[in-house]
Amino acid sequence: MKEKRLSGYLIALIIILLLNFILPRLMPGDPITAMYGDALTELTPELRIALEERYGLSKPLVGQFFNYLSNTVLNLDLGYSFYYEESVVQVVMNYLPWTLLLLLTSLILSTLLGFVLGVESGWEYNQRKDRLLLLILLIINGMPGIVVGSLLLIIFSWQLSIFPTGGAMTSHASYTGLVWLVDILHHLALPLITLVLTRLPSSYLLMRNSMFGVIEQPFIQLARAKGLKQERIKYVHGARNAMIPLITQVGIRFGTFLGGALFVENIFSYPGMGTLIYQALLNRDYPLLQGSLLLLSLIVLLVNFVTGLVIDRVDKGGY
Amino acid sequence: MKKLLLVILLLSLVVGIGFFNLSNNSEAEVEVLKIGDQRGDWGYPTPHRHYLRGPGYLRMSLIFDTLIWKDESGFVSALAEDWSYEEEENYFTFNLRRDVNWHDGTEFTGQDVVFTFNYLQENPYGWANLNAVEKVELIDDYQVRVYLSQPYAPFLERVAGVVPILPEHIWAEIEKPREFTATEAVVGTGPYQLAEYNRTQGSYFYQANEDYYGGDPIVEELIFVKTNSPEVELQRGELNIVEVMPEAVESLAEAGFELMTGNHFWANKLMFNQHQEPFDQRKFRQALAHAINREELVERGLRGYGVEGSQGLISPDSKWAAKELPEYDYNPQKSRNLIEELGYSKEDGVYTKGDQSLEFTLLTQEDRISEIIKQNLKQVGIEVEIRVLDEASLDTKIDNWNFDLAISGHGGLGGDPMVLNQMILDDDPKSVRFKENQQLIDQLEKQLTIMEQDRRLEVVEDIQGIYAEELLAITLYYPEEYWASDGTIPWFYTAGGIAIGIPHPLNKLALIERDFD
Repeated sequence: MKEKRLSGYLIALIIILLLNFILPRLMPGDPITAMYGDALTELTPELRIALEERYGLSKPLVGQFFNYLSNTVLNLDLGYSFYYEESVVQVVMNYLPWTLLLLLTSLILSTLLGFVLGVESGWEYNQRKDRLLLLILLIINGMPGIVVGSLLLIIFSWQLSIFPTGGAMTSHASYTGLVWLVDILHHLALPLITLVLTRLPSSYLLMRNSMFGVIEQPFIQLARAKGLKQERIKYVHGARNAMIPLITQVGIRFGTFLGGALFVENIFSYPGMGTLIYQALLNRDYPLLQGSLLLLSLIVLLVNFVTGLVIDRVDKGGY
Repeated sequence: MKKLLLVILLLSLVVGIGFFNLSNNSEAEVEVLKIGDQRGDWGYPTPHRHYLRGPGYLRMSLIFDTLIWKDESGFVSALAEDWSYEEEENYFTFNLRRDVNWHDGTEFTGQDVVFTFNYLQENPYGWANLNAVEKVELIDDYQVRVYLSQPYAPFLERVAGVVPILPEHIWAEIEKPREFTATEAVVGTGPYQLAEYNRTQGSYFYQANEDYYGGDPIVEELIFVKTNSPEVELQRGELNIVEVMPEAVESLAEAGFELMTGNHFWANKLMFNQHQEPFDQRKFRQALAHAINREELVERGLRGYGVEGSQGLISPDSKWAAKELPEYDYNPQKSRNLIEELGYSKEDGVYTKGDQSLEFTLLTQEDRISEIIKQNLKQVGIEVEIRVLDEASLDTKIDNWNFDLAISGHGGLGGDPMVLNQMILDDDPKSVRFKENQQLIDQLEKQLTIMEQDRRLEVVEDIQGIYAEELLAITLYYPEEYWASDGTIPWFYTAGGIAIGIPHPLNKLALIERDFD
């Protein structure tokens, strides 16, 4: 079973490596034209040749592919960004932490919130509290991330001036300690709320349904008969068994969720991987695109893998 | 008691502001000035590492000075006190300033100038083409001669006014300037020194160079930050100057902000694939010019924020613009007549000839303008299908002549008329790449060699006439760009644009007290 799972990951990795090379190059447009744009007016043919040489673009595509493959797989070297003139890893390391901060905080918050609301709702299935929660969350569910984000931006930043309009921190403010932390959280708030709101309904609905399925089970009846406290039955006996689908969902939908986060970054000009990849796309910065996509894919695979392990554990620990 | 305190506070604020405004005219310094930008990161501000667009050059130009520079009315001295051209031997002499130090305290001399030209010939810099420079000679410590391989009229505007002079004692050892990011890499002679650059946040932090030879910097700390809501942040007082959407201009003006609009040095063009029938025929291209309502493009497409294109390409604001040019008024009937003269007849509302019907694809980056063009052409009897692409895809398709019609734009139309050579002859997707009219080629080559302005102007006007006659692309319009500021700094627009023609108000001379003219 485990071997089968591992070979699955290996196949996924090979496909990712291939696609990462092919997809960027399928886009029309070459890196030098894309990067030099208006400045092409002073791009002499000699300079162009020198640049093609420098970026390895003068080699045939097959040669470029084997170069990429051997560098990535054998040397774990993600290459050199054309646009930033720096190693891909160095560039990515400036942006990845912001994405991880946004992603992890929103993942944890939306899962926790969805868990609690789902348990409460499912426990009182079809009663007043449940119906109200369901209504509210279905309304949120109907709004795409871009609408939620833009609304938050317009209301809480442009109109009420409560939050900054974008970015991850105040530039050159030389804050330290607590002030620095508050500044970062202040900038994080709107993209974070956007992501939490967009993900909350699905984890809530899942938890609610799963909870409803569990409360009728004999072991809950048993716990009740034992005279255990309501909260204990709800959370320890009920929710623990009902939460497997929620954890599975974190794993399965992590990729989609990551995609959403990259998108939200662009609404708030949050300097994470979404912003970086978008720019790399416009610049046709092949190595940076390859490297960023590969790293993100690896993160998704890793999360899937870890989710698998967690599910195994929770499953075994069940009643 | 509290109320009294409040009143005193308010009063002192009002008096304070009044005092500040008064003193602003004399010697006052601004402590911090914040400039907003939608993109944020324009690269590390050294010649080889800034991204090769205008804003990248501007950030670099705060640190590195050139031999000469431009203000609102034309060339002014920078590192060179004065300059002259010796026609017979074809060289420029630059007399350099003697009171200049590099930011690290080392003295600036002519040797640095000689070094810079040699260095940039070995390590080409995308903003300055040095092909016309034969050699640079040091006459004495403060005089250099730049010999040209042939008379080259754009020299001052495109070379002397653009090449950033580098300190030899730092760069002599640097073999890979594209990888040089140490702190010494940003030692220049300019009015500002880089204190911090943050690529991820897209921000730059500069401090004034108090020893600047050209005058005291007005602003102590200069900060460039990324913004996605320039109008909002300006109004909140978080930024002092930003580029704004034309639609926001009125409300910002009402709120008391200073609004500036530059010259029309950027053009959007309708490009034809002249290697393909029927665009290879001049008459057909002219028929299209009569079919497109350029006034509607400006009024409806740009909501009035722009100027109709001149078919000579050069912006009417430029001193190089031709006074008289062939005109193509909006006249659908005339357009139809021209098309019919070419043997086309209408079938189901679309012109056809044999098995060829006038149905084309129009490549573009945005669809509002293209929709109007599509309607205009449909009215005449030409069907157009619009395809929206990003800039890189569009440029590559044009570059490979893999298109029928395309909308593409470029700047540089206020500076040296050498832009005509680049946009007519050069192998560049923004250029029409037309080499079939020998008279046009001859005149283009000739204009580069005429050092005397009035004589050059005659040739440049002639070129615009031929270009308009051939009509290798239709210049659709010059859009207006707006900048809004809170009035802290008396910004101005540079004659012909900054350096090779950047149409922004952010000239470093606005940030210093100018006293050397």
